[in-house]
Amino acid sequence: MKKKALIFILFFFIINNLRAENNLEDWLSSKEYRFAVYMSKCKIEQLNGQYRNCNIFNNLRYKILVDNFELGKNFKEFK
Amino acid sequence: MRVFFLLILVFFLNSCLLTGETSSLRESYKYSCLAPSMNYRSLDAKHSTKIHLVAWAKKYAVQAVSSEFKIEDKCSHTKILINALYTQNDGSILSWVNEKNNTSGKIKILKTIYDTRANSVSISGGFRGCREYSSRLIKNGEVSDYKFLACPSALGWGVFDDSSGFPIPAHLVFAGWHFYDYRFFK
Repeated sequence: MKKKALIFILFFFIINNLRAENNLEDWLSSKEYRFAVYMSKCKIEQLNGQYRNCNIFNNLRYKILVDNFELGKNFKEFK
Repeated sequence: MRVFFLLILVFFLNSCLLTGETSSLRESYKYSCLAPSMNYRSLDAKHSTKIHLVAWAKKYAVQAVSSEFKIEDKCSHTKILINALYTQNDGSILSWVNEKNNTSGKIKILKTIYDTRANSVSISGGFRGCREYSSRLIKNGEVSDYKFLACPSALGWGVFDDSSGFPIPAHLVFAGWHFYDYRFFK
């Protein structure tokens, strides 16, 4: 009985994971996914020795933000 | 047999209690499908452990009985969120539709906020290139709206504090953004 229950749980776990992977093919192969994973890990050391993430919005000057986002131009740094 | 099921129960309870994360949230972490509105109840329960311990059990119970979006929907929403935050102008709307699950979602970038007083080197401080956005989720005709502030760095003292004057932590840190729930700004 224990063995059957264990096999059932393992089977359910594997099938569930495989099904999820199939449904997520578009996402896992997208540039947004790669970018999100990269940006979640990326850290830059600053002059004062502290670290902060690589989000370009940390470093944009006010004028650039205004030009790019309030005056209707697209932001081109996304890769 | 009873011991076996008890062990399984203890295992699941333990993983929740130790990490404070639900299984759906762990799945979202696994695939990086972490759009905050899509994982709202799980993140809210987790977030409350950092502020009010009493509220944690209640919120945990609420998320446990709530129906969740499927992982592919969470990923579709995360995809447009990343795209919107990094590439879209203020006022732009991105959307997705999943006819199979009868679900859809939209994200609108409301505005970009920049505090010119903020020191560009300091981590703490005011708003620095924060983006305010709203998120709309529709499941079987039921509409849910959320509003978040996404900032490239953590908000420091005096911007978003609790009643004791301590900065309230972000709901989520993901893909280079610190996501703050707009409810707390009221």
